[in-house]
Amino acid sequence: MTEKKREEKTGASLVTALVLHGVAFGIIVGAGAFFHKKGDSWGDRSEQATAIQATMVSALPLPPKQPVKDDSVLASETPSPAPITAKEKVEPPPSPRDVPIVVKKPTKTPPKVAEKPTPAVQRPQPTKPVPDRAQTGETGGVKVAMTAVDTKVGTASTNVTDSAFGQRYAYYVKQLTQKVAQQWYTALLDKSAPGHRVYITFRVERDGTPSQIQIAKPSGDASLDQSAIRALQHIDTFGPLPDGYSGSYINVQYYFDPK
Amino acid sequence: MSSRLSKFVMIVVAFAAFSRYGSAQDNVFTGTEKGVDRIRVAAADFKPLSADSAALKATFDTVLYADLAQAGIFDLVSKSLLPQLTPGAPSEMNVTQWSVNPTNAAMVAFGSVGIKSGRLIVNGWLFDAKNTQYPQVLGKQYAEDANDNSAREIAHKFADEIILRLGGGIPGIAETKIVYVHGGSGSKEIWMMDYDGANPHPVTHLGTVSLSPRISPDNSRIAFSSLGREGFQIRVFSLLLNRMVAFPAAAGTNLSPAWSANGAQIAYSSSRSGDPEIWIADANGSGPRRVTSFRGPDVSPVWNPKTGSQIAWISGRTGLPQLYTMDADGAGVTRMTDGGYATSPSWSPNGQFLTFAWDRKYGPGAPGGQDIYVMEIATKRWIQLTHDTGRCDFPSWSPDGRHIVYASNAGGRWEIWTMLADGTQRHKLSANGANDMPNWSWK
Repeated sequence: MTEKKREEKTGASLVTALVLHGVAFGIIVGAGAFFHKKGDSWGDRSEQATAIQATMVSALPLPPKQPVKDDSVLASETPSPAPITAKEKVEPPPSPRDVPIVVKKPTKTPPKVAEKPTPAVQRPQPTKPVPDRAQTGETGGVKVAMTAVDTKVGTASTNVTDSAFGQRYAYYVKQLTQKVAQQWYTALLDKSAPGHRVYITFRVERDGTPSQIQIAKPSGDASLDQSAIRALQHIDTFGPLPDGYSGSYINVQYYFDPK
Repeated sequence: MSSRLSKFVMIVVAFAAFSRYGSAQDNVFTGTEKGVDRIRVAAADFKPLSADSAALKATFDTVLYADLAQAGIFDLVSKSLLPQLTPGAPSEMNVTQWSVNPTNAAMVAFGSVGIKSGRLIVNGWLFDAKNTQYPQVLGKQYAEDANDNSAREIAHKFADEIILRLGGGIPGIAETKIVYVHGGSGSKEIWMMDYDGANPHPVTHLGTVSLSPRISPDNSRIAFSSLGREGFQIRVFSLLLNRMVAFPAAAGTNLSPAWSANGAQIAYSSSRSGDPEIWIADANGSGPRRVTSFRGPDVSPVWNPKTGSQIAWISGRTGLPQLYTMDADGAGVTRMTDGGYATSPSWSPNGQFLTFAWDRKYGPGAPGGQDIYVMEIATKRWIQLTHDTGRCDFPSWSPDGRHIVYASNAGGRWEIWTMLADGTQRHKLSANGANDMPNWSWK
């Protein structure tokens, strides 16, 4: 009895499945037929088969010879020769006797008695500047102002607002300038930008760390300004301030002029 | 039934390529060759204050000259161009004589050396030759026992002061040390020498093979791996107590320890899980935890000394050993080299560069040559430092970031060499052969 029931069930479910499949199939095919595009698709049965026609290259004829227009200078087949220019008439150079020179004839006077020549006055000669090159061949150091550093990428200069500090500890200011100049990475600068010199102010604390980095006067080129600030932010320390200095920080004005 | 029931779905997986790895040789700014003028320094012969100080004075003069020449930031005036003067005090000093040709110095170091009641007294000054109004930059006095070693130490201290003042706040390396492995076949021991190759002396006497020594950041301990009863284990030697201190043994082969920047942790390679992986433990060895988990050997870890939160190491997960970086917890694994055979990385003190030994043409029939390379981590651009000087290996940065020490077998024997970080001024530090695996101390 159960087999019959199962058979019935399977029979019923089989029919249902077939019906549903048929409906799905019908929808697919019917939709395809219903939405089928009538008319020509692109390229079908068009009069001029220009876009998709392929021709063997060897059979391709050369473009036809255009009729020659002789009166047009640019299209002419026989270019005319270069126009004959008459040779410039070069005037001959004037002979030395053309212009009369009136020379005053000196009147005859009795010859003067030559005076005793006075000894030549010794004028102080300016001292020759000492050449930079040493005799043995070793070159001397580059002579730059104490606070300006000339590097491959440009000129950097610092000015400590406390001028006594700059005088007394010139080596520290120079070392500070060199350190910032070393950090300069100019590869990202915009070469066509008009700005040139950017002025930065910052403060160096007692332990040498830079702080309060600000643009005092922008250069007009934002990438140069930003690279200047970044160069300073990259620096951990300049070295502690000199022992003899009693203050707890120094203010520094800094400008950079890229080449 | 209609065969339209079956549908075929084609899935195409497009595999995007990785971003390109290290581009060719480009300029890498290591800070020593940026076109800024080197300061022209004249190191005058110091004045002997007493007759018996001549020998010590000679040592002092040569060591001071060598330290300043090695610093990489000075242009030392050669001895033949100095004026024949030995000013011993600022009163005897006339800076204009030193700033004119042929000397043309910007800075002058001078002073006096004397022996008083058995003590070596050195007075040293550094004068700015271009600043006639306020020439003094430094004035120092040192007093030590009167022997050759003290003369060297005082010269190193004085040179370090000069480098600190004129070199942009970075301390000099004249008082740093280099630990290395000495020994050919047979036992290999850990030795230590000054940064200029002087005073080489053994540190360990274990009678077995000891490798890859690393000094701790506070100069108090040396960690290394040594072959013992249980295979290769991490051992620690205390320089303060002058004996070995405890470090727990582990299974497998444990190699290449590396101290973190604060000295609190050690990273090392351990194969206790079967495959060599990078493990991190506390400085006394407790609490080891694994940070890598890929197949293939993972060896030679080194910490980022600036941040202490990254590790670079060598991994063979793709076949040949390549250089990788990751965070200290194992995340963010980034591959740095694109081929060849890369080994033994060292991280620069400013955190920007990695130096390692690389054989770019490795393989059968390839003209293999292992050289020292420096790679900028942010851009993966590299530069080759050694060329055609034999096999070079185990580079290690100096704490000022301007020098690299490495081992090379130019001439058939393995010796320790040193050079500036741009590859210039190369010279040999050791002389007795079979010296390998140098490591520069942190200060």
